[in-house]
Amino acid sequence: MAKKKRIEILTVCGVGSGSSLILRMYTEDVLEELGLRYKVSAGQASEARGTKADIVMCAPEFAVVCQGGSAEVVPIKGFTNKDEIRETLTEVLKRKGFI
Amino acid sequence: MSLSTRQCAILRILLDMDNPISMSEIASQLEITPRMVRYDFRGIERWLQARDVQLIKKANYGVFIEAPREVRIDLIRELEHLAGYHLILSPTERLHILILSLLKCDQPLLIKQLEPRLGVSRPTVLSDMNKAEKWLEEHNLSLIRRPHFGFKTVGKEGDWRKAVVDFLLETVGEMPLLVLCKGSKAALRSRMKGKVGLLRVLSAFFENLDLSYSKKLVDSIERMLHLQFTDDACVSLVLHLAILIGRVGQGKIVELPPQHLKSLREQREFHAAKIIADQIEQRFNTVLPKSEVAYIAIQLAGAKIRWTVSDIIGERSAEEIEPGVLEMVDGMLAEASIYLHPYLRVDQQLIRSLAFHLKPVLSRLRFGLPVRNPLLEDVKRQYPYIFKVARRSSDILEEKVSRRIPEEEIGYIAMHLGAAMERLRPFPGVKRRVLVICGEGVATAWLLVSKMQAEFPEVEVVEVMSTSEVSRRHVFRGDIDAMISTVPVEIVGIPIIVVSPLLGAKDKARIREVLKIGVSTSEPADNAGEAEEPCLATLITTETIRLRVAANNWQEVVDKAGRLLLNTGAIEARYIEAMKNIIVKYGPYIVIWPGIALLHARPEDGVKRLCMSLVTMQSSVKFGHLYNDPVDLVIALGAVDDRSHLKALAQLAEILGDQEMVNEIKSASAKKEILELVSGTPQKSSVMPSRKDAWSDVGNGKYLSQ
Repeated sequence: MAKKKRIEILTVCGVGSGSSLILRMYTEDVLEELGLRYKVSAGQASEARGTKADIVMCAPEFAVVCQGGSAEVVPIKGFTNKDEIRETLTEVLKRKGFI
Repeated sequence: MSLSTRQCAILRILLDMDNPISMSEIASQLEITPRMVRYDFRGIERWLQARDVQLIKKANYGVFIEAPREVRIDLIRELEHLAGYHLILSPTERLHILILSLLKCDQPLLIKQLEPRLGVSRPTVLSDMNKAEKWLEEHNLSLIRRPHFGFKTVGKEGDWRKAVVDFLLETVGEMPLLVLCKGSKAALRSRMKGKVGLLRVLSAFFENLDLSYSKKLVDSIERMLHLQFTDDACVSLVLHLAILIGRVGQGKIVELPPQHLKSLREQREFHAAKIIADQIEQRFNTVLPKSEVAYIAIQLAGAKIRWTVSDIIGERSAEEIEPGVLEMVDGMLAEASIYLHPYLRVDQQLIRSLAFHLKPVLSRLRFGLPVRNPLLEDVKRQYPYIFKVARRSSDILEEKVSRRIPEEEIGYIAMHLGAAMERLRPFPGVKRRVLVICGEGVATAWLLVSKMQAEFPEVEVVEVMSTSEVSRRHVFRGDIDAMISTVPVEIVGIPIIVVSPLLGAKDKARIREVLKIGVSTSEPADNAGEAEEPCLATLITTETIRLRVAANNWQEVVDKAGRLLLNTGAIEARYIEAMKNIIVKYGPYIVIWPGIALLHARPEDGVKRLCMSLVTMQSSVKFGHLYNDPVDLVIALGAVDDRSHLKALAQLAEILGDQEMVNEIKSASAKKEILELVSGTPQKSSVMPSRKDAWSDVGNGKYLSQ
């Protein structure tokens, strides 16, 4: 049984301890539902460029700040909208070959 | 007067029993309802009365046939000669017989042959066959089925052997097999009570296995390597060796990838395997191919080993643990300590027990050996949080071996962590001395020991032994007050308390009774000395709620929500400005739910202690958010670090994710309504909220049997 690579996701906001945590929780829920292996951490927008994570999730306002690193930046309009998170993330994960 | 087939089956069970059996037990053995059993009893009683035999029925006690053994044997004989009598097999028993037949048979099996063997007709055989096929597939074997050909199992030899061992462990169980290895069939018979059909098939199967010789081989390996296998590892090794001897005799050889062979050569298990192989070759006058020697070595490398108290407590030198393994343990504990307790990372006992545990785990993962964990479901139920942490911690392991770690292994790691958490519960007091006997592996034993220590401060665990060790070693009777065992053992002169390794309420009561321990008056506080992470209800109080606040713009909203925090002394005034600056700098992304804003800034912006306020607006205010505007509910958060507010935030997310609750909050006219909502929220389970949960895992009152 070959292991599937674990997905690493960084969720960011301007502060790194409030809304990014909320986004992390919702994202974890979604990944759990999808039955994937994952590691989600929350952080400040300034961390996004240097991150080793595969995907950075952020509010659309931060997309520009986050762009430029190795991770794919995925803007999420509704941090708390699980349907949006699931839809957007599934599409990105499929493209990146995680599912 | 005649008996129906079902009545025959019930009667057969009753005649087999030496002790009373309850109606529901009979029903569950035959997989019918207790009502059906009760209904059948009238006829059975009449039949017995006609033969001057009495059926005793007592409430809360059970049913039994009062007759000497000879009479019962006569009755069994008469029963079996009845016209039309045939064994009625329960569906499970039938499936087991079918699986064993499929595994055993080299020639394709025909339905015609199976019908009489299973005592059912073609359609039922076919439906059983589907279940059997599923079982075989789960064990990496496949079933060929073709008309005019029949049914035949095919697959790799190694998988076939694993499947047979698994099958035996599943149907017979470890303890009866261990007793069987020692040459006694008594335990097998008592396990198979009421399952005459399966017993017959199994006995025939064991006839062809030289278990006692293989047991001797395993004993000699233990002496050679100076170690002791756990009882379950011992059973599995004996079975593998006995099956290997038989299969090689039939020219059925396992195949191994060459790289496995190469990596094995340097391991000491390989040398032991070679010596064993020599012995087998001499005795059976045969030649074992290299792959079979390697197969033995792999089984040895993956076998769970029993460590003594002194190994774990630290008399054994640490050099024996490979540095690579220690490094991995440290990595795992670094992760686990974040969620459970900082002490875990420096807990020498945990580090050692986990390191000793990991070595065979790594071999098992590398060679894809399965491991059984009979306690898995219990562990998941009783330590849900710790199990989750264990899964997270084993990510490092997963990366190392590039394989998904099976839940069974995670379960064992969780048990080690659980044991450490149990040890952390304080225990003062005078000791009573006990010996713990454990049939299971290391993790089980240590979990039990730790639970004992936590639950019974008065009890000192002198030593942990396996069942075979107890019978071999001389135990000083005067030295200990009782033995606590996870498996039935018989030793004269010492009280023995048989318990579940997870120590349920009944177990505890029995231990109290035997050791004459009173119910402890002061239960240890779950989290004594532990900084409790605040939940939502401790943060959102009458002081930090304001309802129907009027504000003209978002700046005013931030001021008002911030002032509540300032008034409680949790923040400095500059924090309010910082919250505004974040919005100015990054935009109104903080409006994260429709109509709800979560105001916050960095801890270093002037937060003195974790705090939260909740404000509802008289009329909604625009923050400039593209989708979630306008805002009529505001939460202001002051966090002191990245973690301590996680639990409260998770609870908040739970509430704000529920539109109904949000509406209630928004329309609330009294603070009381909000306080009720806030205190009534269970915390979210899918995140890792706080350490407190770990304590509720190990805490009082959540035990298995309650």
